[in-house]
Amino acid sequence: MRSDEDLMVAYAAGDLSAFRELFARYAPILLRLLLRDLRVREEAQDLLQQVFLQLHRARRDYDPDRRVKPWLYTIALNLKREYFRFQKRRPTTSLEDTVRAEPVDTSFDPERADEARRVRRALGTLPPEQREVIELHWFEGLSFPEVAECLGITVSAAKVRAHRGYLRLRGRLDKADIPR
Amino acid sequence: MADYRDIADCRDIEGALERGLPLDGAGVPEHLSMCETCGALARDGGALARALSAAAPQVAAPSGAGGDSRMGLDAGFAATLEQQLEKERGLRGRLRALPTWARVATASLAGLLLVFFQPAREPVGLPRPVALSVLLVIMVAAVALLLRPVARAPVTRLRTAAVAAAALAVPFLLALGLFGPRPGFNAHWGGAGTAAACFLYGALVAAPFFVLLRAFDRWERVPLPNAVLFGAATGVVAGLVLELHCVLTHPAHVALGHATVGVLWAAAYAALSSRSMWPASH
Repeated sequence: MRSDEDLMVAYAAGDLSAFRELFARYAPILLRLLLRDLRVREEAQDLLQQVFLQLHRARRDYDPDRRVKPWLYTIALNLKREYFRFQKRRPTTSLEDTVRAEPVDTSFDPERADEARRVRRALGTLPPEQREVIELHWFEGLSFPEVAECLGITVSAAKVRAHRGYLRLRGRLDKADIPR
Repeated sequence: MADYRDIADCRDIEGALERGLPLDGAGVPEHLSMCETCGALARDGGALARALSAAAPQVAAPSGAGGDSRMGLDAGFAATLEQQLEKERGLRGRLRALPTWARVATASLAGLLLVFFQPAREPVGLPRPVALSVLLVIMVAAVALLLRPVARAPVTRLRTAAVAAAALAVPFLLALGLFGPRPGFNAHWGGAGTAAACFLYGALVAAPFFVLLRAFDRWERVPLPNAVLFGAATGVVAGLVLELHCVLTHPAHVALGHATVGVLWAAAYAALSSRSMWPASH
């Protein structure tokens, strides 16, 4: 299987099938990322379309030494940020929407699902800059240098945000105000 | 599989905590004492790390580019995207897809050509070098900011607003003679008609620069600070043209006839772009 980076290089050279493969790999992941903050599925799909259009326009800017994943995440996060500015409303996580939007784990474990809901609800109460770092690092699997690159901050700033977010998250989970 | 006896970095610590493995590697105590992030995760036997892992969503397996229910995408999504990509084959699509260095260099060069080659008006003498340099630096900075790829880390809106403010303010400072007088030039006011003529000339002569900048821009809907900067940068080009080709140096003439070009362009384009909708595919 070709790597994301090989696909991106091939696409920049004009290989359309490489774009389709990248789309197939990343559309579900990016849609999930966008659906965390957008309540309406159509809005998330519009943004997803914009992400791939921007990928298309930026294909000749791609540096083969860089990973494709954080590059795509940067596009998605920048578009999402701008979209919320346009809408003039703060992103808010709606647990119900998130759960509905994300594919269901087939190995269903009610206790684990309950815990997952509680953690996501607690995450939704964190300041956006802390939540964003934790989600990118834990849920999207980006390293701290990649998270920093996506958000335009230093690696140490990303770690500080994560640390503060973890402390706050622990506090929220320990309290009884996050229902199961 | 990683040997957790040798764990020493954040990824290894997180992996061990997720799997409930003991943190007994040689480098662990030192790492935990230095890394507050891992320290927070490792408390209470890594309960938080396990909770976060449990909350990590499952991702659907890769599928084809067609509409797929596993993705949660509408059936026509891929077809709509293909249509959008088809539109990118036109001239504007090709200009937008040029590498960023080429877009910035071409737009800057086009600005310089407009400034220095005005067949309708010959240069009227040596310009003030400091004024010229400041305006040129602002023009290139504006071009670089406006054509910055969306795939790069975001620039704060404050920075964009600061460059736009400088681009709008410097022509007025020129009018006040901040960068020194231009001796030997006509210091008469010239009347409102002359100022209007300069204004019109500057606004029209800089229009191709605006059109080119927009053609190179990759945003579908231009953010408001960028819209202001588009107009302000166009005003800078107009200001440069008029600085080089207008003989009148009276503050009132320069302020009304030269500096207001950027203000008009910025206000008009900001108003226009604020009325545009977010692009939708359905």
